[in-house]
Amino acid sequence: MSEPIFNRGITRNKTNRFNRFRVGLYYLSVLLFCQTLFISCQNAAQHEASLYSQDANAKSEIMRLNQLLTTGQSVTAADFESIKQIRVKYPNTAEVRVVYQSALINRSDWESVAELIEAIPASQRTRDDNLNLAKTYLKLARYQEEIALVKPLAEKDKKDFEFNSLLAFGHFFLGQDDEAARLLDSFWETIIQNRRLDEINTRGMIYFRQKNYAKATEIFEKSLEINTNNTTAYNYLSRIYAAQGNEEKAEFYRAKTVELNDKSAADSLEASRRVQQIYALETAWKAKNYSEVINLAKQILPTAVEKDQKIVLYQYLFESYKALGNEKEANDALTEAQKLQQQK
Amino acid sequence: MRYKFFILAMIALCFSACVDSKNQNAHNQTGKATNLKFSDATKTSGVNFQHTPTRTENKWLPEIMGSGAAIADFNRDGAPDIVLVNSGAIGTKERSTEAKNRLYINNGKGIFTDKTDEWNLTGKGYGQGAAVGDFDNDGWTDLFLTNFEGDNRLLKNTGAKFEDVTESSGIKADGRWATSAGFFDMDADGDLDLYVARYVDFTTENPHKVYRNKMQIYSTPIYYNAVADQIWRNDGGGKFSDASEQTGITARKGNGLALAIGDIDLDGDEDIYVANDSDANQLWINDGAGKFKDIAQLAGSAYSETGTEEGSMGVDFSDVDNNSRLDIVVTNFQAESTAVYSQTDALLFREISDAIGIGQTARARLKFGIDFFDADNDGDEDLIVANGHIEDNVEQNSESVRFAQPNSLYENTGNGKFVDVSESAGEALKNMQVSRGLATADFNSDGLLDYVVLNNGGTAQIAFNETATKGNFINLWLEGEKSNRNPIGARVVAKIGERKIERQIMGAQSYLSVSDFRVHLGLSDAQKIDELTIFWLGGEPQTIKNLEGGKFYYIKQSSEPIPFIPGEKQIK
Repeated sequence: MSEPIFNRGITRNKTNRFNRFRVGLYYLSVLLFCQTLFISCQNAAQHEASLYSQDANAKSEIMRLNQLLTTGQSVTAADFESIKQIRVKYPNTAEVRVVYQSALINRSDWESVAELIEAIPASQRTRDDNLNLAKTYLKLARYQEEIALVKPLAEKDKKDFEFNSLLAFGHFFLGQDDEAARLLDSFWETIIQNRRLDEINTRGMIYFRQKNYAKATEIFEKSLEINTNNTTAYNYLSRIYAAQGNEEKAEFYRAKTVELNDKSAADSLEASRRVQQIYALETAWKAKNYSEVINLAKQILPTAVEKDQKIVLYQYLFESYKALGNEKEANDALTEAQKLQQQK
Repeated sequence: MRYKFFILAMIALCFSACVDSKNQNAHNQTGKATNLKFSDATKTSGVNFQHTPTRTENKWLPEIMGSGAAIADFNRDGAPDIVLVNSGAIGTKERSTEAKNRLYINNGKGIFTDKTDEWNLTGKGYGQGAAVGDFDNDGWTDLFLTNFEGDNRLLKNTGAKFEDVTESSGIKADGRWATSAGFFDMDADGDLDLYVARYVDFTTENPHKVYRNKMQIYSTPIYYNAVADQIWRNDGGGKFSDASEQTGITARKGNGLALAIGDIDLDGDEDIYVANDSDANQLWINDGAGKFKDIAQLAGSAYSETGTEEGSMGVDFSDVDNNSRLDIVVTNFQAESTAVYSQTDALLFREISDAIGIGQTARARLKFGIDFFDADNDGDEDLIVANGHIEDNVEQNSESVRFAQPNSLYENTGNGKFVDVSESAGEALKNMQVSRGLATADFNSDGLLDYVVLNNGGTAQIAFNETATKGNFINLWLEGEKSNRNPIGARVVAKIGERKIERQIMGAQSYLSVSDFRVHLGLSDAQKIDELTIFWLGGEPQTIKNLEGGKFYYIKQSSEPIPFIPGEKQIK
């Protein structure tokens, strides 16, 4: 026999009341548990900070690695391994995390950069963390995630140019041109005032996609005023004129695009040659082959742009001449190094 | 249940507040659910190929380039056979036994027999790519092999073996590095000409040492000069002459690695797209008489969307966005997308890889071989890509990039969008090697397209398509009479109710490779093709009505279709 409906209801109400009590106990115990965990984590973080401040080796190694990264020097596999080891020991220390993140960026390891920033709880991320994460998502073509991250931040502060601009890029790459254009247009004065090439070129590309060739031309010409070495602008101007049947102008801008790309390849080649020479110099120095060190340092000096690098090269010359017993040349090299040092 | 979930959620939240956890798989886009399934049939197929490259401390550029595959029915039994190119020892003219090229003859059931010696398949120098085409129109598909030293070989198929006819053909070696090649009929005169893409002027005498973070890595081509490509005109009688200057293709040099040859503007002649590594790509438009003009840059298909050169490795054509115009899809370097140049207007392109779902996962791989193929017979073309880095020590410079990489499979969802289904499409796609050449064909005659991948320094992989939910199909072996026999350059239009499927027989695509010339048409749930029109290159269109599905047909130009069973008997 089935139970009367109203009875079932009463029984349920009793059960519900009992369940609510049980749930209340659960909530309370969970909150207490979480609070305990949070406090222990805070304590652990304080403990870690204290340990790090007393670990002179780790601190000096982080300083050395930071120096490498900020001066654009190579971070070798051994250097990176060293940062990783320190990070294992001090996972919550901001100084360590910043250097680790810079090393990942130096290696163009964007997947790992994203993972690193994603590991910071959203509520604890700084504005820079969010900006970096958004830029990393763009690098990785994770546009949906980029938009999901940036949209609430851009909407929260509609005057925030950086977040709105990043949001525009996300929409642009997904082919959502109208939304990207709306965002860029709302900040157009800021974009022009700050000579923001990426935003200007993106707006030009949208006009091109929409076949508004007059506006696209205007934008890319503006872009060229800001930076004459602008492959994107030359490329699009050639495509615009080709689409309009102006072969002469199309060919002119096509040739400029090729010229700039060739120049970029030549610059990469030159930079690579310089790196190769520096490694050869270091190898010769380690092998105490001082004549070779002098030979290579003299080859590199005319192409060295930064003063720091020139100083180091003169120091190599000084030490090598000294080792070979050529006092005069050694002193000349030292004088040059000192002059450069004073000019700094 | 709700309470347990709440507890777990709270604990997870609490832990995430203080523990450096990794949000793994949040961005995983490669494991979407799919019906597509590929099994690794290498061990049972009889293909026991091992690629043998040179490996030195010098890290010479050719060491890392891998090699290609050519698929063709060499013995006319209706089943696709495979030639796999090996590499060998740089600087050595003759190959060791283990570095031999290999010919695998198919019995039509996907079981292959190594017939390399019987067919006298030779290979000289450091092997790179292969092209196939019946250059003498005798009905037997011939073979052209490229190599690093430029001593490329033309091998005539006699029906029972290959004969090296390079010297008598007039094709001369000039010591320059040749990569991909493709037969095509540039002037629609009924015989096949030959395009040879060439790379850079690297020699073992002028190597550049390149470093990243003080560690020597394999260099990119920017340290060397580009070598001009070649066109060899077929003068008849088995003779070729160098027509590179006359055709106009020497006007612009590039670091050529891959070719796609097809009628991109549907004007009845064959055009050529060359994927150049770290250089502007070229789109050579044919004027119909065999003169070419490169329009890639002005058409928007030479560079990335922002106008920069990319490390282009492979290329194929397909109508990705269903607008009845062929699009160009180019595989590029790690962190660069697989560029999808959509032909939005006649010969005007726009790069859309991100908008159609290919860009994100493509950037996570270094991509080489590529082929569009209808993997589930639903009438649209899916995409397979061979991946593998060029730096054998890349793990020391990155936490997330690997030298050996899994290959990628993108399923076409039919609305112009693609989904990366690599991780859920079967064991074949879980194989991690350093992949290079790639080609597709229905090896086991089950009406589904399979594929073969060449791996640098590894085994070749034969993958069988075991997709359970599949559409009906028709497979066409076309043979020209006035047109070239293969018949490269033919275009097929199949009408099925309101639907229309278009395919071309392309003389080259992918990387160092060429896929089966047989035309595979996925009919979805249709039982027949209502109307099939074959546009023979240089000939009159031929229309065939009511072609029953689920069959293989042999169609000679101007003749009625004849059903056949692949591998059953030789078709004269």
